[in-house]
Amino acid sequence: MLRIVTDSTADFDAEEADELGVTVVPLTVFFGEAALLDRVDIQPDEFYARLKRDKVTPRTSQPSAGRFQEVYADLAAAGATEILSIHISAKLSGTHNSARLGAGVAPAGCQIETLDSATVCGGLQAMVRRAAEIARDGGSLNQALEAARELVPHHRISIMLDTLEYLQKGGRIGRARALLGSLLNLKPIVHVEDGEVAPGDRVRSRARGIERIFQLTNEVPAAERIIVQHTGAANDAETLARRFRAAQPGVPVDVRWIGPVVGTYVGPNAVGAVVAQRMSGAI
Amino acid sequence: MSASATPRGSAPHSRPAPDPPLGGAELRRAFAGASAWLERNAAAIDAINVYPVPDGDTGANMAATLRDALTALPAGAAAAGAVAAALARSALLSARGNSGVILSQWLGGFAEAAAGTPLLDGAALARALTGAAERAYAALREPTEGTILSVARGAAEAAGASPDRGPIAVFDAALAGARAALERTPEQLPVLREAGVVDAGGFGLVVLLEGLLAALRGTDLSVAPHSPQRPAADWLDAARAGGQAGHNGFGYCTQFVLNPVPPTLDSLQAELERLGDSVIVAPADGGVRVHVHTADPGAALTFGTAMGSLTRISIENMQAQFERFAAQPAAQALAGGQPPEVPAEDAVRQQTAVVAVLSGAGLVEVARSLGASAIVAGGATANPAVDEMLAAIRTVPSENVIVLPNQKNVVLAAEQAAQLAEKRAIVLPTRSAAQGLAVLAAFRPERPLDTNLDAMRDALDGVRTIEITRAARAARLHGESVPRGRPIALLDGRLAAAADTPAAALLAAIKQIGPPDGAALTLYSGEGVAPSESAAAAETIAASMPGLDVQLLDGGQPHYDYIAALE
Repeated sequence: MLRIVTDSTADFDAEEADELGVTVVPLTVFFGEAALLDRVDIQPDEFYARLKRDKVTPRTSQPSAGRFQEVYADLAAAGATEILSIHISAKLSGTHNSARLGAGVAPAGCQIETLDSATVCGGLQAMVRRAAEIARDGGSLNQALEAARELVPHHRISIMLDTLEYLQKGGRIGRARALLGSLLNLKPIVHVEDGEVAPGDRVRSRARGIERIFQLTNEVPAAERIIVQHTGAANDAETLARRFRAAQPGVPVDVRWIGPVVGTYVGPNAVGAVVAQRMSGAI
Repeated sequence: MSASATPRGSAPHSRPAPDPPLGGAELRRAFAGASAWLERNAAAIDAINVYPVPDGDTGANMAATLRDALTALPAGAAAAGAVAAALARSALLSARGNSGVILSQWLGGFAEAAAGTPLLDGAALARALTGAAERAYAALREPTEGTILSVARGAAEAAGASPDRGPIAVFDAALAGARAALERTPEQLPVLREAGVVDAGGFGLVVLLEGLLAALRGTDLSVAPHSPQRPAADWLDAARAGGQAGHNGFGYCTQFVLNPVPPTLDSLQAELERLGDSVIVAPADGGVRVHVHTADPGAALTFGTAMGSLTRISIENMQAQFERFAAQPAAQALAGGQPPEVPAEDAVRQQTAVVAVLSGAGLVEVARSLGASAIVAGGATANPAVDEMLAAIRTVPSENVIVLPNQKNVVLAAEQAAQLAEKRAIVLPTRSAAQGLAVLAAFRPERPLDTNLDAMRDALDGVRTIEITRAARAARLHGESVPRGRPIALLDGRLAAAADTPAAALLAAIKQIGPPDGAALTLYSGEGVAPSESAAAAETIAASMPGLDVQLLDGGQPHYDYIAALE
């Protein structure tokens, strides 16, 4: 039996993960001394409220290799003979490395593969969802791995940030550094490319930024699913979702929060969209 | 400049005869010159070494690699191909550091293409330079542009295209190609652009070609070397913070030669990539030269000893090297010399540059913060001359220039300046400072001209301009008379409102537009407006339109109390 493992940056709700049969290993957010498991001990709405209110800058940390080893052992004990563990881009977090090390001590009779998704949030979620569907249909580890990998170049993430401050403070700014330094209060649009944060356009108004994200996402052909994500900008997210529903009837459009760990770097009031393309065979 | 310009001997064709082909002795002399010149310039190369690790040893490594290879070169070979082959063999073993290993591969490719050739004529030399570049690329699993590789290719392509087929002329063309490629490296590799330098390894290859050429021409190499440039101070600060963020900083540069050659080099490479990065696995006389940057050199050595015996083991602490590198004084304090051949302005050459016409200290500051390279003074009453704009187009550090006239009656003069310029200059006809700054927000210097133009035109479409000034003469608006001197609002250049105060005229104009929620107003206050007055105006606007994102900046512009962009 094939089982799928991911981490909390895939932004699944607990019930949804259960339904898909996906095991989610949480990362940790530290507010001062308090260690909170991502989406377990702290939910997005309370997190962003605190992020705006508190002066303390949160920190984050990946699950340990030992934690992954336990998760894999539990799954093997419950009958898993194959495990595919798909995680947040290794350029953004050490989570995949922990998983890889944890998988190094595979339980007897169980084969484990880990995959660096080179993406995060809805991109990672789409990949995990695809692998989980293959597992549910009785597919093999290799089929699931191949299907998940295929999505790497076939999805796009674009997010309008309110400020680059959080990315910069968290050391995740990457090439988006190019967007710093303007005296105008510009909203940067960033993408995840090659597993890291890459600079897109800068816009002065949120309205223009939402329009730009709509264009960038809508131009991607053969959308399988569109996920609108935000860090407390619920109204903007709804506006964006309405535009997609009107422009692409028949394509499922979800609105969901970006979780606390990724939110630590994205900051409050961001809004964006992830589009995943259909499998090449299905186009 | 080119040797081909000097005729020598009789000319059988219309072009002067090419210089004679190179034998083994000449080639040896040429590489000896290259080695000497590399040694003299090692410090200048080290000083700009920021990629892949800012450890300041690229020049020293390249110089040592070539010096040791020459020392080990057996005497006596007469054929050029044999000298090249012997040099390449010893370089594989003497290679030090990332750039040394790549240099040894470059020499290996050079030798392979020159194999069996007693005398190297220009065509053979061009082939050898192509082989050299190809081998250097092949040494890396994921070749990165903007490095010594791009410079090697630039040299090879220029050599192949040289119209004159003499060896000196071909080397001369190769050097010009290498220099041009070196200048482009900051456009290709963001870290170089951020640090404000060209690639160190690429610079090392340019120096090597300079040395080769000088030795062949008999030029004196005891002249002053290139002056060292330095990476930008803030980049060094950021690199320091980044290096210390990891547990082991930049880790260790770990190298050895493994004997015998394992059955598959690919799996060796893949295993090493699990241990670290900057992995190079290159066949060396009877063994394999291995280079890896890793946090755990012990693991790399353990892995190596499991596969065979190791020789020429070297482990360098790159964090310690970086600390020394970052602690170096600025350029002026290091050994002086003649002006650098790679001037600072070239080191930050960008894909596209912007020339903007503006008046007002605050407006200029905003334009600079958005990436404008040159500002030509000019506003409502003082239009700049064509030659002022032409001079600005010429000075900006790019061959691709976008000109923002920011005034209706400057557009034509800007067009003329753009036509006179030797560069590709395009005028984007912005009609106000508000429009000019709004489109500048969409500008990104590292993007190509056409991409920038598309984004900036797109931004221009959605901008409304409001300008608050005083009526220059009596006028009529909506049937009412507006006396001379009364505050008025121009909306996209047309009279739209008149009021008792500038702030009231501004608010009236904004209300006429009726901005939707999520719109943004950027408000620039003029030189005569008190900060308290402009702050009050901005507050009034924000209070009466809660969905509007209002930002107030001190524009300092003459003539207009306020300039505003609504988008």
